[in-house]
Amino acid sequence: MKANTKSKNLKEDKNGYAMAVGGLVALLVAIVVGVLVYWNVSGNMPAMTEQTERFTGYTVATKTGAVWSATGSNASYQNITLNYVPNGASNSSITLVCYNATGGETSAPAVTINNRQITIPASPSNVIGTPLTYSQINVTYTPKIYDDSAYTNTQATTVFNLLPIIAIVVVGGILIGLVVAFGGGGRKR
Amino acid sequence: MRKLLGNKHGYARAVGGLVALLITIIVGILVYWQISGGITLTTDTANTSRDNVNTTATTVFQLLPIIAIVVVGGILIGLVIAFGGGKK
Repeated sequence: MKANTKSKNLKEDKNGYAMAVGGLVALLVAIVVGVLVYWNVSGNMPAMTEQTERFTGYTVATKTGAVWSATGSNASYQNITLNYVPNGASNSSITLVCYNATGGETSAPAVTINNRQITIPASPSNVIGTPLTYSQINVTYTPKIYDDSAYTNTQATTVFNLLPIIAIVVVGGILIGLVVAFGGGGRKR
Repeated sequence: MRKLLGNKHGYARAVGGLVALLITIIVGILVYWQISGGITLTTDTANTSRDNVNTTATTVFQLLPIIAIVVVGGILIGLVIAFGGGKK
């Protein structure tokens, strides 16, 4: 058996066991340093959490009597550009809320998502009657980077869990080889 | 595998290679989505095309880490076969 032969070689080599142990320690150190390096890189990736972005500077439409002014930002469609690509192009993949000047929630309109660009539809008073006027837009979403990285992190965890098993298998092989050699396992001379 | 078994530092190097692979994947994800997010297209056809590429890229990014798992599995199988008297 190869394990037996290898074990004999190991026994006959004065530094054999020391070198084998050294190799295993080097392997384990490489694994633990690898874990350290990987999670440092992964942990410093941007956009690894749910993002909330605020967009301000919109003009609130005013109401005189029963008439809304047509000067509010809501009178025409508005485009905003997110920092990262959201995970999905449907309305359910992001949470978009419009606020008025006093911080009151005015609307959560259905929007169009095109990559990082979000289009808030126009809400003029002459179309709807009561416009969804706002001065601030808050968008909460999960970036695509976060989603894909989370999957890679899960797989990396599996890999890092499997790697030390190499060392266990090597030690197991040495032990089996030793036992076989002590038992007089055949070695062709 | 044979080279790995015959090399004193083989396993440590293999681990280094696997970590490098995983880091490359995760940095690749960052780079890809930063570039893809920066592409602004004007037509629906172009946007659909880009979205299709993004979908495929997501699949690729999900498959890539499996390479590392398969490599580790290969090393383990190779070790067991070698101890069992497999060909050198």
